[in-house]
Amino acid sequence: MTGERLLVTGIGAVTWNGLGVEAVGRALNGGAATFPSEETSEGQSVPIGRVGRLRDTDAASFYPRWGQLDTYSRYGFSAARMALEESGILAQEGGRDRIGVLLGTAFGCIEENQRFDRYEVEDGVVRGASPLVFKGTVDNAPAGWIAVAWKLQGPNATFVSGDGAALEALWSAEGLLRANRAEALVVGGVERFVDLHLRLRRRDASRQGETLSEGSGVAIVEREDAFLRRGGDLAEVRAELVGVARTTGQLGDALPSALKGLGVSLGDVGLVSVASPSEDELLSELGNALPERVELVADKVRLGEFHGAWGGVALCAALYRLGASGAGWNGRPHAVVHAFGEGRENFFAVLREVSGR
Amino acid sequence: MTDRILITGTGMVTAAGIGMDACWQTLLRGESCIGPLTLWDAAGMASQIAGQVSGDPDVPAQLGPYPVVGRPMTFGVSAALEAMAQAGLDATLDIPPSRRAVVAAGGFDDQMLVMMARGVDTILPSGEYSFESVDADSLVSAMQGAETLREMARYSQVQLMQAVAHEAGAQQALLVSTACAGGSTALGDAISMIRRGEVDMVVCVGVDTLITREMMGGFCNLTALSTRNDAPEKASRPFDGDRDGFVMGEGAAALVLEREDLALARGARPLAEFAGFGYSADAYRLTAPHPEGTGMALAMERALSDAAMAPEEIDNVNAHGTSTAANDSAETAAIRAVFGQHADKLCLSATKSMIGHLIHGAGAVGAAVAVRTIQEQTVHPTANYETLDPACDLDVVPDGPRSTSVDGVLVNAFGFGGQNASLVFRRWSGAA
Repeated sequence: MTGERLLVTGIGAVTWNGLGVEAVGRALNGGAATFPSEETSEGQSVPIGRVGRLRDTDAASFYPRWGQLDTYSRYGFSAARMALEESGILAQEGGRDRIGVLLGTAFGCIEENQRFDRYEVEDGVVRGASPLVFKGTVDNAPAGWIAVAWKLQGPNATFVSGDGAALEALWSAEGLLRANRAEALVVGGVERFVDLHLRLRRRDASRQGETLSEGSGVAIVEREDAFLRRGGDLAEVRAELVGVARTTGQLGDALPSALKGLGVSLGDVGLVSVASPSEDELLSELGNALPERVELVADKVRLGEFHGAWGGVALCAALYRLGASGAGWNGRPHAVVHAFGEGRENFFAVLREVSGR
Repeated sequence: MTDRILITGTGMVTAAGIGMDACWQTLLRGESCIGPLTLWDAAGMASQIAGQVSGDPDVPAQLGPYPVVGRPMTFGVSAALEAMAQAGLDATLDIPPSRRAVVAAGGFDDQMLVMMARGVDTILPSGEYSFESVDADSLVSAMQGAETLREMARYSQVQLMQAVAHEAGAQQALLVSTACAGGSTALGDAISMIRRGEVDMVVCVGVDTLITREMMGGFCNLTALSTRNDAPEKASRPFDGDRDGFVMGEGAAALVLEREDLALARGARPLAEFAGFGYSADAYRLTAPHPEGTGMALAMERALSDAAMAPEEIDNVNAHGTSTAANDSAETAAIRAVFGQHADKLCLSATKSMIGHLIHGAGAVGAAVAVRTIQEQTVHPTANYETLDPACDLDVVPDGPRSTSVDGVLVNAFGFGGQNASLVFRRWSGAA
C-alpha cells in the first residue's frame, strides 16, 4: 500500500431520469414527485424508475457491437462511457493494461438468464436462442464488454453481495490502486430489474414504500501519480476518494467508527448520504450521532432503490452536490456515501474535496 | 505483524470424491471421473456427459437458521466444514467475529432460475410446479419461503455464504461472480482483506453446479462442450491434439486463509503459503480468449510480481486447461511468454481432465490441489494426453503422478467474459 492519493476523475450515470449526472441532479432537485409511475395488472399506479431498453447514440456510434449488448450490460457500458470521456484517460498514449473494471450488482444478469431458460432444449441444443443471449448469462458481462470495447486489460471483477455490491467494488478498487496493481479503475454498480421484482416486492412488508429503480452509476478512480503523469489537471478532478470502510453494527456506531478508521473527523463532514428508504428513519437512527451542519440525505427517496447499483449512483449524487455547491459539502471538505452490505455490514465511501478545483 | 498468509485448511467435493483425501487419491491415479449424465434424461443432447458428484456429502440438515438444501449449498457446506475442521476453526475460537470473514464465489442457482422462468407463475400462488430437478421438492419449499428475488435467484450461494459465516462465527461476508475465474477472484479478495488489516482469517468457498439442461444446451450452442459421448472417460483431454471441448463438472472447494503469526500462535498447521494473486482482462471477446493469451500472461505476471517470485521459482502450474481448442493453445502461449525457457521445466496439472469444469468452483479447486501438491511434493497427472498438439507442447505429466520438488505453484483460472485470475502458492518455509 502507498499513501498515494486516489482521485475521482470522471463519473457517469444511467437512471430513469436520463443519461448523465445532470439527470441525477434534476431528480435530486425535483424530489420524489418527479418519479414516473406505471399501472400494474391490478390497475394500481405505482412509482417505478424504469430505464428500459437503453438507447445511447454516442455509445452506439462509438462501439459497433452496441446492438449485441443485453440491457443490463448497456447500463454499465453507457455509464462507463460517460465517465471515461469525462476523465480524459482514453486520450493518453500507451497501453491500457493498468486500467481495469470493477462492478457490483445484486441481480446481475437475471433477465438474460430467465430469457435463456425459457427456451426449450431440443435435439441437444437450445432451440431458437441466439448465442448473443447466452453471452449475457454471466454477471460479469458488463465488465467484460467495457474491457473489450476500450481494450482495458487491468483487473476485472464483479461483486454480487447484494445492495452493498457497488461500494464493495469500490473497496476492492481502493486496495488494488493503493497497492499499485492498477493505475485507474472503472468502478460502480449496475442493476436491471425484471417484472418478478415487482411481484415479489408486494410480498415483502419490509420493502413497502420503496421505489424500485434500475440503471448504473460509475466513477473513474485513478492514482494521483498516474493522473499527473498523463498531464491531468487537478482543477478538473471531481474529488479525492479518501477510502472505503467496512464496519458492522448499528449505523450510529458504525459511521463514527468508519470515519475514525479513515482518519477523518466527523466535524469535517458536510454530507452523509445513507442507504435508507426514509429520511425519518434515518434521522432517528443516526441524527443524534452527528454534529450540526451535517446534511443527512436519503437519496433513495428521490432516486429510488437501485439495489447493487446504489453505491455507484449515490456516489454520483454526492459528487453532483459538490459540483453544484462550489464550496465543499455545506462548507466542509468531506462527504460520506453509505450502503448496506450483507448481514450487519455497512460500507462507507468517504470523499474529500480536492483543493485547487 | 507478518505479511505472510497461510493456508491452514482445505476441503473439496468433486466427481473425484467427497473430501480432500478422496479427491486427491483419485487425481493421483489419473482416473477420469467423467461419465454419462444421469441427473436428468440427456437423450438428444449434443453433449450427454459430465463430471457428476457421486453420493451425498454428510452435512448437517441445518447450520444455525440456514437449512442446507440443494446441490450447490450441500457441496459448498461440505467443503467449507472440511476445511474449517482441518484448520481447527469454529465459532468458539479466540478470534473476534469482526475479524473473521467468508468470501464465496458462485453465479446464479440455475435450478432456481429455471424454476423461476418456467414455473414461478404457479409456484408463488399455489405451490404447484413442474420442473425436472433432483432437488425439486426441497428447492421449491425453500423458494416458497423466499421474500425477495435475490433470495430466490441466488438462493444457494447466498445461503451458503451466510451458513458458512454462521458456522465460522464471521461477521463479514462477500460474494463474487466472475464466471470461471470466480473462485480465484474470491481468493484474491480474501487475501486482500487480510493484507489490509481488516480481518485475520477468511474461509473461502468456490462452488458451481451448472449441469443443467439449459446451461449445457447453451454451451452446446457455442459448440464448447465435448461431444465424445461414446467414450466419456476420454472426453476431457486438456492440451491433447484430439480435444473437442470441455466437460461440465460440479462441486466445490474451500480454503482457510490466516495471518501467519496468529495461525502459528494458536497452533494451526501451515499447509502452504498463499503468496500472491493477479487479475487481468483479455479485452478481446466475451466468449473466447485472445489467441496469444496476452491477458492470461498479464494475470500470471501480476501474480508472480505480487508474490515477489521469479518465474524460475515456480515448479508446477495448475492450468485452467479446459480441453477447448482455444483455451489450451492460448494458455500454452501465455505460459511460454511468462516463463520463457523455464516453461520447459514446468510440470502442468490439468485437473479438469478428470473432474470436468466447475466454473465458479474451478479456481478454488485448483488452489486446493496446489496446496496438496506442495504438501505431498507430488504432481498429479493429466488424463487423456495422448496426441501432441504442436501448439500445446508443455509437459503435462501424462504418465502418472510425479514425485518432485515443488516449492511454488501457480494456479490459472480464466473466465467466460474475458476475466483472468492467477494465484501463487509457496511451500511454507518456517516462521518469518
